[in-house]
Amino acid sequence: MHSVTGVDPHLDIETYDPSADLMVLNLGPQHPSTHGVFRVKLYLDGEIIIKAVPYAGYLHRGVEKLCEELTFVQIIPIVDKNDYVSPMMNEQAIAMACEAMLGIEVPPRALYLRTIFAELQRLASHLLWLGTFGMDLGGALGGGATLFMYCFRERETILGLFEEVTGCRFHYNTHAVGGNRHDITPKFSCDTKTTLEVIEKRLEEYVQIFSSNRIYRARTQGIGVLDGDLANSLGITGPLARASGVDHDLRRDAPYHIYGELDVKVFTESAGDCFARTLVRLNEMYESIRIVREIIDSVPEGPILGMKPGKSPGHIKIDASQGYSCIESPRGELGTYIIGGGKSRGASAYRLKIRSPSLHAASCIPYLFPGHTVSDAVAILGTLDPIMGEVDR
Amino acid sequence: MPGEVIQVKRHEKLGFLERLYVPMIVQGLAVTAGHFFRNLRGFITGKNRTDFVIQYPDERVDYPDAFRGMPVLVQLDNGQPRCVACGLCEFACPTDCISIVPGEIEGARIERYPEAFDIDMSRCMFCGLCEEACPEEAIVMSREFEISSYDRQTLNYDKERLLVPETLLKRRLEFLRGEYDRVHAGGETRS
Ligand code: SF4
Ligand code: SF4
Repeated sequence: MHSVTGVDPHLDIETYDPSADLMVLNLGPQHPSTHGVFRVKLYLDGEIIIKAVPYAGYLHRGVEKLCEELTFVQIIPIVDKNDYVSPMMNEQAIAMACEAMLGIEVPPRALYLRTIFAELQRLASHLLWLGTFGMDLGGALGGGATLFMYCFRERETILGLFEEVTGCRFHYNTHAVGGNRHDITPKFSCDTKTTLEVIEKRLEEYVQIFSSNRIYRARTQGIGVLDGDLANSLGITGPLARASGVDHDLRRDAPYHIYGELDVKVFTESAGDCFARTLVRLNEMYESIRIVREIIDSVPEGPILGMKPGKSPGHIKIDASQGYSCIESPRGELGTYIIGGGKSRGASAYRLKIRSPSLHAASCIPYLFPGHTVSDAVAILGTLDPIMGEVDR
Repeated sequence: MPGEVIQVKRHEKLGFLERLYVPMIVQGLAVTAGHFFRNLRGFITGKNRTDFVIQYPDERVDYPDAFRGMPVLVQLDNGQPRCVACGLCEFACPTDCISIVPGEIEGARIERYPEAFDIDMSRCMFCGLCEEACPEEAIVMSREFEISSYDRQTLNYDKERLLVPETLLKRRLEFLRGEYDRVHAGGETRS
């Protein structure tokens, strides 16, 4: 059907019969299941996709360039908008890169908070994925929007928890270089526990509809098989790669925050199809719930900001050196590469590059789509879960 | 043991019952119907409400103390802004949406005051950096967020529209003072 290496799927349209009438269909840019503004040009033979060419860039906002203009303090609320499904992760990635370059020690309480936020955000992000995926599959899961509504309800409770602490449901601006801005309240810990209880119970219900539903199985099993080697060669990380048997999780391989002390379970699957990706994500949701439960009661007392808070937006200065740090976002390795020594004597970056997992996830579309029908393409795109804000930046 | 790898179990083969089409559909419907009736019961009896919808303009949720709405200026009892036009918020704002024209009063207690203070709300992202930068507690995030309008010009808030009496901002100011009192590393509190 398609090979991993050797043939470039972008070029091999000529290997198909050129005299055959191929229909060209644009999936997107505003198709509801393209998760943002994203276009895939499909060459169809009947209903079978012969070739798929993704076009990204509809959501390009020049965030990296903007980050070179603004200071390190100011970019934190800006990068929130990259991966708009898990803003906490973006903030953490930037803050951690700056801390690593400056050698700032983050206080333990802030590390605990960050871990809790990260895991809750992972849960929220996977819930959103589950909901939209249910909608993408349409009738297979109790009629379109049902699962979507359920998952949004659960996600909403998590966003409510974040609002309690940070003051915003989204785009929190809660991380600062050196620690956190907002402290958790006793109400937060208490609410978190009850919320997780509810979510765990409800997840059980959804998994039940999912896993044994025959239509659902037929639409996901054996569809969009991503091979482990291909995943590695395209730089795919996160649940996508783990579903293809790549045993890679930064929380365990390069522990940051307090993951080193925790026993993070890494879930892998070997099949690499849509069903495997679903299973891996579902298990990760349970794992996130478990991690938050484990640490929510043991948050140590103490400061949450590791340095003297500065009034001026330029108080963090990084000299002309370079650094890279990465975290495991719900979609994979989210890295930030910074060259310091930019404007206003190092208060902003000379160059800032964000390595977004979604871009890599979207890059396997030309390999996965050919040979499947258009409706399967929607299912595949759903399980790839690329967030376009992050693909285009 | 850290970093345990778990191969996810995958029930490739469905059981006999699961392979039948109708029972599985009924099972799915049972879940959704269960939700529906639970919500309906809560809605009618008013006890243990599980429906999640807020009838928005009539019903409102109370946002937490930390809620960040649009930035406003604190108005003192004499009707003047507390702002001393130092320009720090203007400098801190990532979107450059604040513009201040400073003025001076001869002999008054607070000599400097903003002659004009505009915030372009169409660009503001409610990030709160201006509030954090202000040394005078003069610009704070209010609980107001319903500022949509049909025309961009109305989103350009001038000083008169931004001024809010201090008493109305009590909740936010108290929250902020609680935040300031928090001890930072090295035992320093932010003043
Ligand atoms: S809230 Fe943020 S964007 Fe809005 S005026 Fe203040 S600093 Fe600027
Ligand atoms: S930082 Fe505060 S005092 Fe200074 S100009 Fe802004 S609002 Fe006025």
